Amino acid sequence: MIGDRQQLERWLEGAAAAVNLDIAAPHREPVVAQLELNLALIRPLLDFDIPATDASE
Amino acid sequence: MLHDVSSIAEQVRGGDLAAADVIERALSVISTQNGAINAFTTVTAERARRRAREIDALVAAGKDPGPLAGVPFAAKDLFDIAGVVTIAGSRVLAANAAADRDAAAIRALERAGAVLVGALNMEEFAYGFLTDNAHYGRTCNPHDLTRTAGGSSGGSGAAVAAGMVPLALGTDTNGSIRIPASFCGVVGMKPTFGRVDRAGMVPLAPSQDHVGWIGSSVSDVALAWRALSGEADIGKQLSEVVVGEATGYFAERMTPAARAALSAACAQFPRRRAVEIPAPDAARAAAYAITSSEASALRLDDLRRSPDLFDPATRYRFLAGALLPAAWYIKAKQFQRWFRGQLERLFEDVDVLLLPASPMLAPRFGEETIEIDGHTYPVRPTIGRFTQPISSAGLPIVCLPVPGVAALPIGVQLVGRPNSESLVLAVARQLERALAGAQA
Repeated sequence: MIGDRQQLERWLEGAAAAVNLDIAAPHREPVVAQLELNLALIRPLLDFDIPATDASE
Repeated sequence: MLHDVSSIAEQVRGGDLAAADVIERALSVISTQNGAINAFTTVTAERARRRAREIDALVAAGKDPGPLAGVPFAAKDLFDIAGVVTIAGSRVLAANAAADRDAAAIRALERAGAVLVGALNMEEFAYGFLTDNAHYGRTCNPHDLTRTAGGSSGGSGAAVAAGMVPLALGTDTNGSIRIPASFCGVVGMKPTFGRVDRAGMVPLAPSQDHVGWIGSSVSDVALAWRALSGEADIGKQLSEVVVGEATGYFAERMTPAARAALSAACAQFPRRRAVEIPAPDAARAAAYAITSSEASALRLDDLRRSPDLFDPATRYRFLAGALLPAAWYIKAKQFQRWFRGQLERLFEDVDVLLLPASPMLAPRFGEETIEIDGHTYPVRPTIGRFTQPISSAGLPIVCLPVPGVAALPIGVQLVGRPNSESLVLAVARQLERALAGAQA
């Protein structure tokens, strides 16, 4: 389950490396906080099952 | 205070008022007011004077100067203006070369006779609702300088509300025209996605960015729409219109002022039908995910090179957005397609939807939380509660103020089916009249 602190930090590490983004130390804490907020804001979408027929149109 | 769009154009076209005089008046009001409000980032005075003389020469020669003849307007600082660096509220772009031609929307308005007088302040890259810009300053609400004008087109809302210009171009991705319109007591219009050419503007999230504008009345924004689209006005009485009154999410979590505005507007429609907009929380989440992902992808090189140049208020949204899983973005795009279809089905039963615009009056700068129905919510993510969910559907929307319900302005949204701008404007014009009558 994404959402705990360690998971968020691993998310930052892995995804930043994948897009070749070097997030400097002073920015890491606010980015982790923003990741946590993003997850909360996007959660209703992740939990929503798009009706299959419509989603596959 | 300047005249409205319609009367300026009518008088200039008729030779009763010189465009040059209108522009001098606008420049004078900008000079007097902008220090306190900070709506303008650039004033293009010489260009405006030159253009006004051209308009006057056309009138003197008996030629048609266009339906917006002599109307001063300004553009959010993400539209290219020839000879000016397009900064989009950011230091990231400040070292760029000046634009070599105007954005398409500016060219279209000038072809119709309007006169550009400058560029307007905004949130960095149009990413936020407050226009509290770390680089170019905060844009204050002309109704109360301690409060935000809204955003991201905050300069557009404030410039019109303060009477500096009667018309201002903006963009709307999640509510960036509608929120300033609501907070500043002016009228905002966002046409159907793709109906206004976006060439020559700095995008935020291309699959949701709309070009639109703000004016002081529905007639003014309608005149701009007619000039840009060539569509004719239609007449519609409120008694002929079936309005959809949204239940659930869109009737919850708003301050008493927002609720009073919605009730007052709703009461003007004799034919109402309750509708439920499906999956509003997921719709808002999808709009957020699309914005976050697309905005960060566009700025990825800048984030790699110089993250410190970003406004601290947007920097971490951009950085975190660059880390969003592709699967989330894809799901958001799938949802967007499904949701658009669901909304279009609602219009089989109603002509327009009536929704709240902002859930609150303009907050004070620095205000972090707001109390609604005994609960405390963070201000920044709450502002877009009613504008963001419907943004990704790309529908035409007019946001107009409801007078007399609170000490500060607040608006409501009228939403139509795709390409029904003329109907939405006709209903908005009648609603505006009915609300003014109800207040008197």
